[in-house]
Amino acid sequence: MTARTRKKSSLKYLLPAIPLCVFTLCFFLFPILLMVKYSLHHSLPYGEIERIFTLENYINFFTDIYYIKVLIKSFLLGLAVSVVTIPLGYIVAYALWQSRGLKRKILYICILFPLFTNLVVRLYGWRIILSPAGPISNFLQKTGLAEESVNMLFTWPTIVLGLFSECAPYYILILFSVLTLINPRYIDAAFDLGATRLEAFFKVIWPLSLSGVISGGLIVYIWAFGAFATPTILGNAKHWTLAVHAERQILSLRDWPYGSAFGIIILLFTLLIVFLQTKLLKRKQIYREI
Amino acid sequence: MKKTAVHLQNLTKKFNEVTALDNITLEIFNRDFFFLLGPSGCGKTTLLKIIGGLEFPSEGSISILDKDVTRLRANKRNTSMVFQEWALFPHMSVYDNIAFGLKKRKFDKKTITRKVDELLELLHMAGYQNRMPFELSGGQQQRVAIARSLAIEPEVLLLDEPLSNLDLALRQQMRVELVRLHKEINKTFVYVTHDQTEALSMANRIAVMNMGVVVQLDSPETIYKKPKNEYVAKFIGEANEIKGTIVKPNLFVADSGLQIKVPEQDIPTDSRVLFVVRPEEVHLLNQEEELPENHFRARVDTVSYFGRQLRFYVQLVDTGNIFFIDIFSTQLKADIHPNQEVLIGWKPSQTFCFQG
Ligand SMILES: Nc1ncnc2c1ncn2[C@@H]1O[C@H](COP(=O)(O)OP(=O)(O)OP(=O)(O)O)[C@@H](O)[C@H]1O
Ligand SMILES: [Mg+2]
Repeated sequence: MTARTRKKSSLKYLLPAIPLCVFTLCFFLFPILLMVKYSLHHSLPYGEIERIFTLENYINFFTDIYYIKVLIKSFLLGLAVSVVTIPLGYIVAYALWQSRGLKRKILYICILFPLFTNLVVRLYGWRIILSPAGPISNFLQKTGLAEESVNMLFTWPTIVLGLFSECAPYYILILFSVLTLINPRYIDAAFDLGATRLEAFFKVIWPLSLSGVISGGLIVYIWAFGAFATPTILGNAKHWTLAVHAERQILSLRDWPYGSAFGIIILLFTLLIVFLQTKLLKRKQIYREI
Repeated sequence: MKKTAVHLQNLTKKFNEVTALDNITLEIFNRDFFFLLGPSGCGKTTLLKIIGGLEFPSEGSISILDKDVTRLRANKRNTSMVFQEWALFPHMSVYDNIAFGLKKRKFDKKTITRKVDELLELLHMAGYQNRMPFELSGGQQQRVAIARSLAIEPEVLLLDEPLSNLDLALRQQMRVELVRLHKEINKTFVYVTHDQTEALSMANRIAVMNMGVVVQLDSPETIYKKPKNEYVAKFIGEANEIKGTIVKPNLFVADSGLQIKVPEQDIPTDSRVLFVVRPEEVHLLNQEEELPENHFRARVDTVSYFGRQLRFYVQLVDTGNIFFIDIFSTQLKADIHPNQEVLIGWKPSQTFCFQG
């Protein structure tokens, strides 16, 4: 095939993508540009906007120690959720990979099932389970492990738990799809050459699945960093992430320019993380060219 | 008396309801180039994995060099396996692949480097230490896989169809090299294949397998010349087959009425048998020569040219049976055309009858 005909046919294949491109342009890129524009305007009391060019929103943000702390806390939340999800999710993904037949089906359903339920409903489920009158608190009291009712809501670990339960299915499925690309013979080969189970894992399977850990972990990180529903429902004001504050600025304080600036800042940091990840992957992935 | 390298006793392997291996007992001698030969799905890989400790038998026992290893895992056995698609670790260089087993054995770095160099030398791959597997051709990956297995100095090297992913020319070259390698390192090789040419040309002993059992265990020559049953005769080499009856201990009568002299065997008279003669044992005869006991007039149907060899399909004039005959082109005195009448024949001693 000559270069020209190949080009032509690849254009032909792009044709069905046009509606999606138009959609993304209208409902994603355009609103973002609009937000960028807003974030560069000056806000007046009572939610009015003065359409002049100014960087004051960004300057205010980065000079306000309160929001810097929120930013750092959002980063830390992302980190905490990743640290919990990456190893625990790995175990589930590995089990899914190694299982066959009925066992695999059951595991698969267990992983997918939570995704069939609305996120807010699931979060209120957590609220019931973890509340002072909930089953866990009751259980602890009955067994005498706790003297009085226990409230696990509105704490950091609870938010991490909530985010973990949200992100884990995505992470597991991404990792699983990478694991299925690994020839299970590699484990046999490693055993055969004298490696123990752990060595076979850490020297062969882990490095080969690293790309899945990184891309899956990234999604977890970004998800938790920009989390909105979970910190609102399972936490209180001191747990709020930048995303919650953006919403507050816009909907409660009616400061569109400042809220938009928050949104853009979240976006920029997310893009930065994605950028760093692609750098990281490129170096690790050369062997994939087979 | 030869020393036993691998001894399998009453080995059975079941995967749920599938019986992959059925009560196999066999002995592989030290320094054998031993072949497991059989069609796809007959349990060759399963047997090899059990020897290597990557699968465990459902019943029976296995010992290697007189040590019972039935319950030992692969990493505790002195065997090493070269996998069908080689299974080189894709994220490691050639050096790291070969050094993988050595690092486990607590050699210092200098020794490891020396050993890797030696192995690459042995397999004509010197200088490839830093290549990644995807930068190697199939044949080169194959050599690295062998080097990686040899690095741990196994008593028994297990090879699972190691040449099946290579093209014909490379395959033939690697066959010669593997035989050389076997001579050089003087260890037991167990080699799995479904390719009879490979088995016949490289083995010193062959176990022919079918559906989880060993059908015949012999030297390549015996397997070819004296197949134990119909299955082996058909699987190894090609054969003309005719159905019929044994009417006298040394006379076979085909259903078409064709009478053939056969070597005397202890098959009861009047039993149904399959008569088999190999295409290269059937000759085109010359009236002036002394004729063998079996000779028949036939008409040439088609002639296929295979380079150094020709294959004729002929039909017997009297009974209509069809035979195919292989003859080296150099042995052919005159041209032979389709429809020409010829005389064909063979010695009774070169034929077999199997009770069906
Ligand atoms: N892990 C397994 N689970 C279930 N059945 C299996 C398993 N491994 C092998 N089998 C079955 O056991 C039989 C023998 O398989 P095996 O892989 O040993 O065949 P083979 O002789 O190596 O064939 P090939 O030449 O195609 O590689 C087959 O019927 C196969 O389906
Ligand atoms: Mg096989």
